[in-house]
Amino acid sequence: MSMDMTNVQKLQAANILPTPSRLSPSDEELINNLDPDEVNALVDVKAQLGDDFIQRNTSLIL
Amino acid sequence: MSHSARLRAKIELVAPGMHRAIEAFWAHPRMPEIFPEFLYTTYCVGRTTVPLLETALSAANARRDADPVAACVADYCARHIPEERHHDEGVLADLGVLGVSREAVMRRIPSPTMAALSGAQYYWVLNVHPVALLGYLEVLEGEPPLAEKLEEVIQRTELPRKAFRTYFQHADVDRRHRDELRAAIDRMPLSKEHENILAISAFQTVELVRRIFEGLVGDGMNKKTRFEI
Repeated sequence: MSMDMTNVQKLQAANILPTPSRLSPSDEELINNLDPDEVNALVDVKAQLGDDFIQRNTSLIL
Repeated sequence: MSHSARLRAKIELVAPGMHRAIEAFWAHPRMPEIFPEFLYTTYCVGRTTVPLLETALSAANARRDADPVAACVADYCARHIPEERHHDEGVLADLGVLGVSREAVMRRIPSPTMAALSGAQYYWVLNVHPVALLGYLEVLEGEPPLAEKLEEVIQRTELPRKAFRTYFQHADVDRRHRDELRAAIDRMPLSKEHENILAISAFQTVELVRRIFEGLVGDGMNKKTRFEI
């Protein structure tokens, strides 16, 4: 991946984020401010960052 | 933005996939048949909490003189360990209400995904930094169960209320645990590297919890408990 890519572009290239994505400016800023280690971790664990992550949700957890 | 708010914002980037899997479980039309699997999963997670906290306490104490973040982690773990003791016993009792014996639970081998969930934390704590465990705990304790949601599930499924005893306790105490965890994180003199470790541990936890819940629902209508009841 190119060093010039933003984090959003890197995650799109790794199919972690859909292309095009409809990110809010604040979410886009949050992602682009992630550290390279954090971005690599998202790719490594095959995180699911679909557009719907904007929909905040409260659920029962373990 | 505080350390804990930044961590929560990062978790929310990846949490919807986990939330979808959890909601699919609670909305499953044959939920009563797979509910023992869920409690077994809860037991498998719960029985590792105190050993993980003790491991983090030991690792953090070993470096506390030269590492103020480790000292804070050790203090948090020392406070939190007594509150987590015997939660796994409560889940065994809940399984007993459903007719699943302690012996049947002990005989069963957990899934590799379950082992990875807790096992990864041993790696992070022992080889990277004990603060990693707080990223795991923020995922597991960051969104406490809601009592009214539990009531709705009991009404819809007609599962015995006694099988939810541990869950109602979580609905009660996890809010305080969450607030204490976040206060502890905010008191820590975290570097950028510490924040990265917290987030990476949390990202991995979210994805493994998502897979565990997807496994609970499995192949849809054909899924049922592996316990003989």
